[in-house]
Amino acid sequence: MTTHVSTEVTDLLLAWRNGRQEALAELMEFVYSRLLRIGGAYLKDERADHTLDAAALVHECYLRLVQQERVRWQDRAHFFAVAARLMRRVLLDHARRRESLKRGSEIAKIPLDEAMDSFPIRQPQLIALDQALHDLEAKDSQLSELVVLRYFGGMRKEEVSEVLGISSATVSRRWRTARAWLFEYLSEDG
Amino acid sequence: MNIKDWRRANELFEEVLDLPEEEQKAWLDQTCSDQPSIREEIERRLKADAAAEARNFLAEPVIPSRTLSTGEPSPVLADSAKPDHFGPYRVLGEIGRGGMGVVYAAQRVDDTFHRKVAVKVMAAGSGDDELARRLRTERRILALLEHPNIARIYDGGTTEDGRPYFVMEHVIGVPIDEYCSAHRLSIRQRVTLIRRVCAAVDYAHRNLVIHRDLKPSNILITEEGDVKLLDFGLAKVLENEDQRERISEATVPWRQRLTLNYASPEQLRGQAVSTASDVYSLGVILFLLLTGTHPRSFEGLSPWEAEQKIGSDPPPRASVRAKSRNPIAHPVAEESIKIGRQLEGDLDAIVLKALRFDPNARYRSADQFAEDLNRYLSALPVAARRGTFRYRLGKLLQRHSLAAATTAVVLVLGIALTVSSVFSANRLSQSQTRLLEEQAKLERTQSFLLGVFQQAGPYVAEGVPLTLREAVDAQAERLSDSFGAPPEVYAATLTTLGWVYFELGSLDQALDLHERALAVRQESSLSDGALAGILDGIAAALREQWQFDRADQMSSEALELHRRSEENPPGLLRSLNHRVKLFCLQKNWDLADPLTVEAMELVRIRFDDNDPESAIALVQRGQVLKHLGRRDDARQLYQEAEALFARIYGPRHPILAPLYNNLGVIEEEAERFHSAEKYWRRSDAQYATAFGDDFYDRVIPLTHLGRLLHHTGAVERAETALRTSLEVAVRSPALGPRHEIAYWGRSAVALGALLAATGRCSEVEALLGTKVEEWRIRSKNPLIGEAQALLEDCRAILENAIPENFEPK
Repeated sequence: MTTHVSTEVTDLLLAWRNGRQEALAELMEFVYSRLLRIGGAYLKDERADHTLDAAALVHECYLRLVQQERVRWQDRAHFFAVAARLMRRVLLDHARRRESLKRGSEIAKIPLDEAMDSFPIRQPQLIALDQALHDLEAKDSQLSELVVLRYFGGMRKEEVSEVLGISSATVSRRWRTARAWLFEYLSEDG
Repeated sequence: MNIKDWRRANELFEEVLDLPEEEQKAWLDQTCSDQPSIREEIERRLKADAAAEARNFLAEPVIPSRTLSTGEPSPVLADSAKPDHFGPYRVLGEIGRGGMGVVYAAQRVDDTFHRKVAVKVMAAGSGDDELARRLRTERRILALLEHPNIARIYDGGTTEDGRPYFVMEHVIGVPIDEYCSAHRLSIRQRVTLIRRVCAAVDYAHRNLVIHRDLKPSNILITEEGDVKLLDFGLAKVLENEDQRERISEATVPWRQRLTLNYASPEQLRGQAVSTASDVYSLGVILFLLLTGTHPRSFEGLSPWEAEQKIGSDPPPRASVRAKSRNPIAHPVAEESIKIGRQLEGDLDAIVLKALRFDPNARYRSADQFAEDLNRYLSALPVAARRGTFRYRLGKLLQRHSLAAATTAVVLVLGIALTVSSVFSANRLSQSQTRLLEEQAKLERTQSFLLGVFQQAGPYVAEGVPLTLREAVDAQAERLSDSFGAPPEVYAATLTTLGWVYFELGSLDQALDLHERALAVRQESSLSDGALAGILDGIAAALREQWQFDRADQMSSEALELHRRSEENPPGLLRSLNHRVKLFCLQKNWDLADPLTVEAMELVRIRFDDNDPESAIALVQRGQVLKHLGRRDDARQLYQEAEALFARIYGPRHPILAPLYNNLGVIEEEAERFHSAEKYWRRSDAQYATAFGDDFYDRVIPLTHLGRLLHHTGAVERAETALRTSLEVAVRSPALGPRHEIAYWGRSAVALGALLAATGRCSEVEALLGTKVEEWRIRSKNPLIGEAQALLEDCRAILENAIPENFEPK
């Protein structure tokens, strides 16, 4: 990793924390491409002796992309929040590609796909869930955000609380609202 | 359903969740009596919630979160076939497998002595360049090291299918921790054993090799009781003498192999690793051998979480852990306590020094670590506890037990000359001379302080007892010259008095005395520690005068001196505390954060549990954690500080009042309202008991309490609290107009909000109407904005309310 990469990510992270919203979009694009590469390499490298989990993958990504001396742990929570959004995208893209493959369309597989097929993702109709989250976002963006952080990012209550700026007690209550709503939404669908 | 109702339904759903199930229906009946659609939505939400819970819907993250290994070597690599031989070595059996390869027991075919060897080989089929590279590096490193306590390398080669292997000494032994338990070794024996491990590690260090993966399973003890260091699979050769290196990107995946419980903070963070990193791991191992537990367990945590934990929670003292050990593992509680006592003091300090977060604060090398363990074993003062007079005196007496009885008597008499004659029989070592100097300094200062109280006595002051302040003034006058004391003693006396004035709130006098102490430097050199103490005094006084920049400069210099001199740990802690306070006042939590961590380390290392500075450090760490969002940790520290303050000053001391107030705030934020109320009531009572019913700071907990009660619907009790608060603010004699907003205003605005909410708008007008205009001219306090908004609302309501037959056009 060259120095300027980590500088760039760190700067974007700091800019985002300081309220520059466009920084988030840039950060997402940047980290996404990296996450695919690292994720692919990670899964290829590690044989049966390592388990993949979202937190470890993202952590690895964080270590490589961020100058740790310059950011505080709150920034790290924010980075993980970015990564959670990205996990959603990575998994969704994967699920969609698999759907198209089933339908016989020609879509290039990416290195991550193979690896992903081999590990146990719990995907309760991932694409439907994604749609539900879009609808939820329109009604109450905090609720959908919360689901992304917890479900896709594997973040703990305290971390979610830091990112959303609400107490962890509130995180728990809001989570139950979101979960109940999604459950109902998806049951109706199915 | 429109979005507003939908949100309302969610809000109510979240509220109803807090209620016991049997009360939910009644609550809903009452709350949504006129909104059947919202009610229906909530019912559906409740049903879905129960079903989602029952089916574990979204219960686990999309990718199940399994964490990395916390101790055990990685499971088997795909390699089931046992090879027959490696070169001239015939394989006898498999010994073990790890992340990097397989180890076999083997025997050289042509060896007439039938000597057993171990062969480590890269697992078949892994085909990984990185693995092969690591194995070759390990081979190269082992070839560098020839030491009786490091497993020796004999030979190496490549298998037919191209995998590298090497042949080494076949060690039969058990991991060090198992060995200690199996042989029921005493504390001293365990320390001796670790010291020998240190010697082997130091040998590696001197050959520029860092092990990077020290843990019990890599340290075997043979049947003969010899130490054997194994597995240099993660070791690193330093390229140059500056003993540091940066983990290259290529080695980052190897972090995965780290054993979290033994990894140093810098390893967890992927930062530069040095010999001090091995010292850290040795510290963890020593802790384990002494207490049977790890200083901090990272069981089930990711490296990220471990890193966070390690950075902010200083390790406990080994003695404390030993005493509180799980009674199931150690059925004899008395035994635990006995062991705990043995660890108190030196061993606690040694372990904690090895476990310092900052590598520079640890023992620089395994050799220094071993040296201090040696000192412990010979009852010499250990470097980890360098410092206090009392400590070194204690050590001296421990060694010279014959002289001890005499010395004790002499000390009681306080005749320094006699002390020196006791020891003049021996050749006086340098440290003993210093000891006597310190004794002299102590006595001078004591006699000066005694002078203060003699001044205050009724006989001296012609029948009228002086106030403490007058007595101090009188004694300060006598300090116009050095009263024949040596310069260092004179400076110490001046600065002690400076602190007395600081505590009395006379900042100018405090500054004056500290600066005079500083001037002594022109005639005679002062030690770094003494100089640092003076600069601390100046910085603290400047800070209280809100001269933050100059205070910052002074305190930074003071801290640097304290760290460099290492002669005065209590002074260092005080210096840290003052600097933290400086940053807290400026709400600069980021700068305060690392300093509070350092202060906490000192608190854990030092053994003076009667030092209020320890409690202050706890409070300030709590404050910082609270602002960093770690409320529960903050609460724990506050409670620890509470216990400490209560022990030092007694449970009625007013210093506890602000602490209770802070605890109240934390509890409120955590929505533990009942507990918050309790703390605020205690805070208020504590103030009232100590300083009387009219003491102005009662306003702070009382307004908190009033606002809380108001928001939780206990309006009557809220009003009582707020009215009491208002009365205190009115009556308090100490409050000038400058504090009116902060105290009276605070109560009045809270009361105003309550009055407005209960429809008594004209009372709000009467309470705040004239004041707000007055305040706006004088101050920018945000409270004023709140008051103004409140007043405007009330006025609008009052105006609209007057024409009863008012009709909109």
